Amino acid sequence: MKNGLRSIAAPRSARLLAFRVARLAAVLLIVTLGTSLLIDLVPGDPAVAIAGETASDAVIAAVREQYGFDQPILQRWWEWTASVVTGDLGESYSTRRPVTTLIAERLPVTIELTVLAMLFTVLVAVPLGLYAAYRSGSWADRAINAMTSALIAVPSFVIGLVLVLAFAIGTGWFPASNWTYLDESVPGNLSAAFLPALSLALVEIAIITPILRADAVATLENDYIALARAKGIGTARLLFRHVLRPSSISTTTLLGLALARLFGGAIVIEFVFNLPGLGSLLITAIRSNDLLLMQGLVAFIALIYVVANFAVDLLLVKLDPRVAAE
Amino acid sequence: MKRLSRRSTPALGHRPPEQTAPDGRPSGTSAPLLVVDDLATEFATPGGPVLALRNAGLVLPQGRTLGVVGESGSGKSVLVRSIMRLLRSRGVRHEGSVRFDGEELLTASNARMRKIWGDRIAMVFQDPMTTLHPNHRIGFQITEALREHLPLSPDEAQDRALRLLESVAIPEPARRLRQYPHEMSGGMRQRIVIAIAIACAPDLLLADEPTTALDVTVQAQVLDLLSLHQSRRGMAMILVSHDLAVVSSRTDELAVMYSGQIVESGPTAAVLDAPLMPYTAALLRSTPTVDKAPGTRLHTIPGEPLPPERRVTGCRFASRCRYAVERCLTTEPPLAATPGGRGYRCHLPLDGTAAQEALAANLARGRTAAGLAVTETDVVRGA
Repeated sequence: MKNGLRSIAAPRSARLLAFRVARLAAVLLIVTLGTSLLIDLVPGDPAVAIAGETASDAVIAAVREQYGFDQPILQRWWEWTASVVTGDLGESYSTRRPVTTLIAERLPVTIELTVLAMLFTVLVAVPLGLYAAYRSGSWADRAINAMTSALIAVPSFVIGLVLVLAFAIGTGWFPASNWTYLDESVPGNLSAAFLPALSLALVEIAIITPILRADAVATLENDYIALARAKGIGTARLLFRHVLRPSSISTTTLLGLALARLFGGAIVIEFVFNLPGLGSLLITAIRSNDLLLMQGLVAFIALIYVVANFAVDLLLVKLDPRVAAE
Repeated sequence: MKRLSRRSTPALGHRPPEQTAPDGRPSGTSAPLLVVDDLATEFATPGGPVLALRNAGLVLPQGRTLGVVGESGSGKSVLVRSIMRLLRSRGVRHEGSVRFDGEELLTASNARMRKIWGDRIAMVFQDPMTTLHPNHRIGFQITEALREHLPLSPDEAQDRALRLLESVAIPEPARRLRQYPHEMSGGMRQRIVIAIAIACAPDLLLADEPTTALDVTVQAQVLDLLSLHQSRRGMAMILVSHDLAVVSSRTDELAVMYSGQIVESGPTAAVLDAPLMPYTAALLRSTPTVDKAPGTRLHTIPGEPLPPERRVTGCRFASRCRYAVERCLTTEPPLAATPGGRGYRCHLPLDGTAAQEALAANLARGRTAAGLAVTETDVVRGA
């Protein structure tokens, strides 16, 4: 507590930042401790998985000792963390390849899905939410509301299956599965990514549209919107230049969460569409009882999650100059 | 579609004043800039429709100023926002007519209104703390209207904005253009709102209680600034205030509102010198002025203002009027016009003997026909 006094005296934004960094570290600590516990939680003995079902007890015991499965959890966590800090996530038991390499191979697919889904979400939810607010009470507003309420209740993998049935198997417009890498063919890549990204995005659109609408309805009541209208500017300009930013606090927070959620959701969707991303890697790891790979993947996904949230917190300060001025 | 109000009476206020040339012949050239006729505004609310403005009529020639006074909730803001058609369209219904420069605004398309807004009609709002956008720099907020309506390059617009800030007496205008509203005082913000309003040199400026939210010390400065630009640019102006003192010296014409209606109108000096409607007289008695002897008690108007949406059969002021007779409760007073260009809604205008007789009778009974208690001391003190 010896720097407690100094932190009270520091500017509010600096204290806020320190608090966020501390929270970020705490979340990472808890997640990595949790993954170290996996060995006790996952059914089956990882040593048996590595050595093989037919291995003798002596071999299994040797493997257990070699990989440190017999050590207490804190010890395991410390050793794992110490090597992670140096950039070494260890070696996958099943493939004998570094976990970092495996992640790096699969990461682009998941990132592309996440980014595309995020893009779809923003491009659809923002105009839709603003328009619904501008026309609040109209049939268009009610139709948008009905649509988002229905979508919000459907998990993305169900949407994914429906989209596959309709636009891949039904019409043949898009591939139902199989991935085309960006360096193979750009149109092919986008075509392969479209349906999975859309299934991810639809759920987020359903979450964000009504939130933005509610905030924008409140913003529209403000005098500064009346003044902006009294200048004679067009509706699109009014909505995007004047209404959007004051209404975007909750939406930005949710988009940050969405980014993390999309990253996790991509894992399930990759399975539905059979795409070579982190999701299928994680499922492979679980199936083959590849503990170190699981541990590395979970820690990596958690890191993405907290960093996304941290970035949103910083962005929120930027959004309102009154906060930054303090 | 059901009508909002009976069109039983002509629009309040004088008909468009006959424009006469120096030799006495009607010139017939300059039609009034703004003619509001029998305007009514209704809001749809969860509790049913609310009629916030009824039978409003007024005429405003080019370059003239009109004061609109009345208590809070009398419909002043609804009147100016209805004229500008600035009320959010959903759930709002207008009836009657608003003709601006010969063009009907109530039926104009939104695209047409956007051409008029900012360019030909502009508005100064009540609270400068909430009328500027918190996320945009002052420069952006001023140049936005300019660039919407005039073919200006960004540099030209910036240059105009700078001169506008100078013209509303803002020190260090170049620095201010880069600032955000929260970095400025209320008085300065209201000057900026004025700069935005006059940016495109509109023909009509609507000022809705422009000084109510300001410190007393800066109120006069802001009003002077408005008057200065109004006369310099030949703008017509509607100045709304609950404060008679604000409008008395700065307007040519006056409209007094009560409970969603214009109850008296006419040349400002004439109305204030000899009000015809008892409500105007009561409002005057309740206004502090420097020529009243020290220690003079200010009169209060008994009772509560009648909410505009309340339906009554007679005069809307009858329940609070000490002249009220039976007829005031049963028959709505029609709009009456005088040769001097004045209009009023009253059965017993104060320049007639009927009003004095009614007051004497009410005093003798100790109460009015509406049951309001009146005593001799009230009248002596107030008159």
